[in-house]
Amino acid sequence: MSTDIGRPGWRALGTAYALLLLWPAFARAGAGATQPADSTWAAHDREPIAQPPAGEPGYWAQRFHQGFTEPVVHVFDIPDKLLWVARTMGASTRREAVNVNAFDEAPNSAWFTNRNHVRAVPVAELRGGPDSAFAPRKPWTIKHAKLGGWSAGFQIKDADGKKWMVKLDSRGYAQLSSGADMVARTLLHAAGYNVPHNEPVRFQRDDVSIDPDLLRGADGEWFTAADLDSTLARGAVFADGDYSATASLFIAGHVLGAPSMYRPRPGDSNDQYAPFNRRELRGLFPLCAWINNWDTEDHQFLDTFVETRDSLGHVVHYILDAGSSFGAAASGPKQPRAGYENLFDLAWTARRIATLGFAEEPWRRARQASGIPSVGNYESDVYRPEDFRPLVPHPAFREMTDRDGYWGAKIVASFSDAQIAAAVESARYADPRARDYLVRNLIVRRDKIARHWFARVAPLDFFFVRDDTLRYRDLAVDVGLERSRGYDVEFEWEGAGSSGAERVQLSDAEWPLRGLGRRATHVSLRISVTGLEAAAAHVELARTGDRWVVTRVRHG
Amino acid sequence: MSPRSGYNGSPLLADVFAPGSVPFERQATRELWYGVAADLASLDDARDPSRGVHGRVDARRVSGLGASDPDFDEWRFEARAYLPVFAKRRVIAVRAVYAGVEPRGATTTSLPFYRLTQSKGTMRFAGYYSERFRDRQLLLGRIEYRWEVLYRLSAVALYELGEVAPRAGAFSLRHAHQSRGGGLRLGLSDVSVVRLEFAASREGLRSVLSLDGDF
Repeated sequence: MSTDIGRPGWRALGTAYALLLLWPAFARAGAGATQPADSTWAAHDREPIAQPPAGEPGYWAQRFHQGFTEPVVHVFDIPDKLLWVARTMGASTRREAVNVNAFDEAPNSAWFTNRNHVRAVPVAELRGGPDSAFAPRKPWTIKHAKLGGWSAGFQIKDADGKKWMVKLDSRGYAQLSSGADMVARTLLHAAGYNVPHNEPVRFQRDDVSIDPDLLRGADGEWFTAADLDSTLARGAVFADGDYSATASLFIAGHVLGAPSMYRPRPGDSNDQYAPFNRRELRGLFPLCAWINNWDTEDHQFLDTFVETRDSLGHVVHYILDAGSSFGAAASGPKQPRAGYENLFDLAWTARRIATLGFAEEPWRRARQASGIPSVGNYESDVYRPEDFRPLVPHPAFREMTDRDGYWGAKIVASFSDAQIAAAVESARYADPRARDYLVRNLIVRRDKIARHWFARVAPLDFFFVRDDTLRYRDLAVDVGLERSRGYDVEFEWEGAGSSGAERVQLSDAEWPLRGLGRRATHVSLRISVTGLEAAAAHVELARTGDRWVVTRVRHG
Repeated sequence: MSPRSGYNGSPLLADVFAPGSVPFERQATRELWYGVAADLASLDDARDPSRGVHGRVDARRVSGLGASDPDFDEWRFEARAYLPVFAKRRVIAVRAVYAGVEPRGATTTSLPFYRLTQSKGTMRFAGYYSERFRDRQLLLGRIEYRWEVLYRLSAVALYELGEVAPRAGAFSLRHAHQSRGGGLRLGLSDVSVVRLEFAASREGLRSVLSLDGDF
């Protein structure tokens, strides 16, 4: 005799198996963990604290660890393989982001501020970025040489006394990095991330002088006219002879260094979570896939300490450098494989070895060369959102779940064509083809990202109650990817010693609550899109007096 | 046999040959050499070629400075060819080397063993220890299939035949030393290639990390 335990049975079996495996982790996690009030929209991580010690992960050690050791070790991670078995049986074994609120959103924090996806940023405001747009006023005085990094440049003080880092575009590629940086930082800021104030600039040799102390080497550091000439010789020039560069205003506060993605900064009691477990860092993946920001190593982030009073203050976390976005790399146009493969991509390397080199990588089919020097290699035809790979595997991206990916995708989808055009125009490309090319490809990529994630997680969001009716948005319909469609609702209610469960079908994104009657005080719903395999949205409501309120939302 | 051993575990000269039977044993020579060399190539990519041919000639005339020092000629011809397998990242590469030394003049009839052509360096037989074979002439033929696995890094599958002989007519395919193996090739620059190879032969499995080649 055989017994068919069915799909739910397998799922239960898999869940039990996963729980057994995860039990030690749960036991550890329960001790001493502080959870925020889960309906909050603010993380309250700006409480005044003493300045934490500066420090950052070693650059090469971090790169080797994340880029090589972790992927190789992961291959031999036996518990992970056992969890994979549980996953095939339908169990959910991935750990979700720890800092989401009751509405499945990341609260405002020192890392992230909810912006465009909750309230469309006006185009004029979006173009301004973190501050109103302003560039370093000339003449400039060089105060220090630029140390580290690929690009040539120097530190300056402008005519208003402000300190900037000037990074030249690579020779032959005017506006390649500076344009990419400007567009990327404008989009990232509108998305909600903290970014530095960067501006694409043009200047001439005569606009720059060298600080006399630097010329003399008064502080042990020399920078001569010959050094300036050799630095400028590595830079890109426009047709009129102007140099092309990014000017990055020094970030306010005391620089603490790059954060580790594995643990909160020591001494920062406001920061409760390992960064890789934060929703806003896991959900950064779709954004980076959109703008092809492949350089997301720890050192592309920066922590600063901002004093508020009596030497106390708080830490603010920035995405520091997005100049390697779109078709740009630090030393010129991106290599074709950039954005499609990690620097050491174990999976693709193994496939190539096993197939004697006959495996066909997507980037080989992609026609990335734009033919525009200020754009480089960027395309959207062959592009698949899920195939994006950063230079070095990012711990938060590796831990990303469908809920995190959906969250990031809805931010990407929130950008209108007009906003995208405004962001691209903020770079002030001299070549008009660059603007059109980037806008067109960003729109196609945005739609691909939305389609991908909205097919995995039902894009039903922003639930609220008005006029005794539960209303929500179908984001795929809102952004024009789908026409109006129906929804399947399974709901359970309870209250006054009674309970019930029913199913209904909706033709609109609203559900009258009057039918629940007076006895029901709590309702939980599972709403899916009719005919779509995507994971359903889970919503809970509670009645307070005569009013229903949404108390919890979970996507997928 | 002495419990001591020479380089790579090989027996010491004194353990194999009777004293006096090896020309120039315990005798250093002083020579002056001059020559010509040429390097001709038509390649699509000097660092990681996938199509083209490459030829190299090196000929030297060596004159002994002392009365008992030998006079001889030394040469090395090398030819390489590359053919892509439907794509630049998959390449069949072929390499042939013919090298030798030949006494010159009436006074030189034998050559110091350390001046003989040896299977070492870029002429090492893949599955054998370095300097395992030496004679007046050396022939080496190799075919390998390379395929890119990472940026600038290729995997290599190789088959090699190598032989040494006292004269050209004495080469025998039947007695040639075969090697089969594979490894990795990293092109650093147009003239510098790092190779990690593992090759099996009748004498076992050998591995070598080489930094001195450009093939």
